[in-house]
Amino acid sequence: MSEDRWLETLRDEFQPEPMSPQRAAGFRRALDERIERRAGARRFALPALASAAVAALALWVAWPVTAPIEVDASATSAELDEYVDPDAFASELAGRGDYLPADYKGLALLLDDDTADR
Amino acid sequence: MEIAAERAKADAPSLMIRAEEFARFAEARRERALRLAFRLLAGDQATAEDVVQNAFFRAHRALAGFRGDASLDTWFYRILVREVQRQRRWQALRGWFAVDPELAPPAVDPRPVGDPGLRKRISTALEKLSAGQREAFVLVHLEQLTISEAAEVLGKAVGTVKSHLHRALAALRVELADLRGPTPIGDGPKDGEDHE
Repeated sequence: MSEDRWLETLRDEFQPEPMSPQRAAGFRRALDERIERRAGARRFALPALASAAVAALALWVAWPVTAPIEVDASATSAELDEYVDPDAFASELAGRGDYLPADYKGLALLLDDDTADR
Repeated sequence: MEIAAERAKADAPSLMIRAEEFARFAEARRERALRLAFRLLAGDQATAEDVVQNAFFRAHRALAGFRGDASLDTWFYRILVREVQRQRRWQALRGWFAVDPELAPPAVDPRPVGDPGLRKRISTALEKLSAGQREAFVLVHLEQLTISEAAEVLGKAVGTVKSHLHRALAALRVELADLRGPTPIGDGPKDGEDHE
């Protein structure tokens, strides 16, 4: 027997029984059901997951910060006033000391000086 | 060749997303896929049918990601071979914890005709091969893919597939020597032969 004939014998002998029409129909139905089940799961699971993710993100963004924000105590206005004391130059503010808040009086003074230099 | 002939008309995956077209795709390949799985699974028809169904299911899931680098057939048979490999690994794992095989129910062979003894011998001989040798032999010599197509399906180099084929043929010639009968002069082995 030639090699080709030998291989042909193996091919002929070693193959499954063809599916009967009923079995083939069952196979198709089972496959369709699996695909449909998966599609159904995706139809509900994906929007639900997406909604949950969006809700979680919105909550995270909107949630008020409960932890106290740490403030650098060395930079309080009291300390800054040691460098620029608006009251010390109150007489040079030409009346603006009446309506400017204390912190701005020093700035006004600096601006005025700048104008005078020019 | 069947695969080559189908290739031209099959390379349109985007059209197949719809259910009825996928059903046609599966219908056209079912018998061949079943035959391939049957041969790779030592003739276990029931398991082969399960594996083929899993392969179609996975193919349907993966279809959107098909990039067209390979032909649709090669792509699908690659999925099928991987599914067979997964099944064999699972069977091996179950074998570790299996009860006495004498107590296990015998595998049902639904085929009422043919020579069950011969099938059993071929199956046993194939089982003695390594996985790579068995896959190469089945794809090239039983399913009649070219060596290049088999290499693509298996994700291996052509040289590796040729090497597996050479060893598989050598082993099967010994194992199934009586089926070959007397070898005429000049009708020697042709294991390096490519079907292309």
